Amino acid sequence: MEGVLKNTHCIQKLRILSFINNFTGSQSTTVAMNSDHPNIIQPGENENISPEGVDLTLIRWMLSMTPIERLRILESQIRNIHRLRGELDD
Amino acid sequence: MTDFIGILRILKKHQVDFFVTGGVSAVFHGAPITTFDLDIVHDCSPENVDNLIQALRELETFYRTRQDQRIFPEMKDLVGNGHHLLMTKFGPLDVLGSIGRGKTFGDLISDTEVIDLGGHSIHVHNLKSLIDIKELIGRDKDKAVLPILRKTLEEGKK
Repeated sequence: MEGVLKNTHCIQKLRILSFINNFTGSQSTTVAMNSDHPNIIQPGENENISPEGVDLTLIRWMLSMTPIERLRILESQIRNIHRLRGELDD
Repeated sequence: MTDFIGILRILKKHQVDFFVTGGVSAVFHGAPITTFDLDIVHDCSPENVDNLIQALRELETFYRTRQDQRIFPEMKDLVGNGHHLLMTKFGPLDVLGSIGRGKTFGDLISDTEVIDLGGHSIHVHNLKSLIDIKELIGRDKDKAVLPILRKTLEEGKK
């Protein structure tokens, strides 16, 4: 069971990184280390954040999936939150 | 363990007429939000409630509002418009006789879309109607999520 959870978590992380790379055109996940990089978001200057503060990249990422995949992501998030809370309680 | 798909499969297995609403319906439509329970609005006719009770039995349901006792929902309560906050073997399930200002399954079924869930057709509240109801209710927790739902609706139309 633990292996399955870890595997799901890894797949989810890879999908997020893959989506971000496709979306930004970045080939490296280390770009965040460079503060001069054009993909670094400056407060109030990013077209991917709505004036209300909604991150449109997350919506586009979710829309890139099928409904059942979206539900699996939600279930995985709930499991991770429970796991984290359990670890913090220990 | 939370398994929303497991709950939906058992409801379909027992031929319960319902639609998914709330946070899970928003996620189905692509909203990047988190929720911990599955909300459904069911047809309150006695025949359908009979099917619902069979499904709730298989789901080992009890009211999560009563931590000290395991109380199973009754037919006479499920045919009404009230809200039933339940716990199942697959996680929290809210069974709602009505939402918004007394809107029932019959009032809202035309505001749903059918989504294929691994061979099962599930009716899911559409995002526009869900937004309308959350605006109408106007609770703080609904207001907080409205900007995300509105942007999801916009992005989904592109």
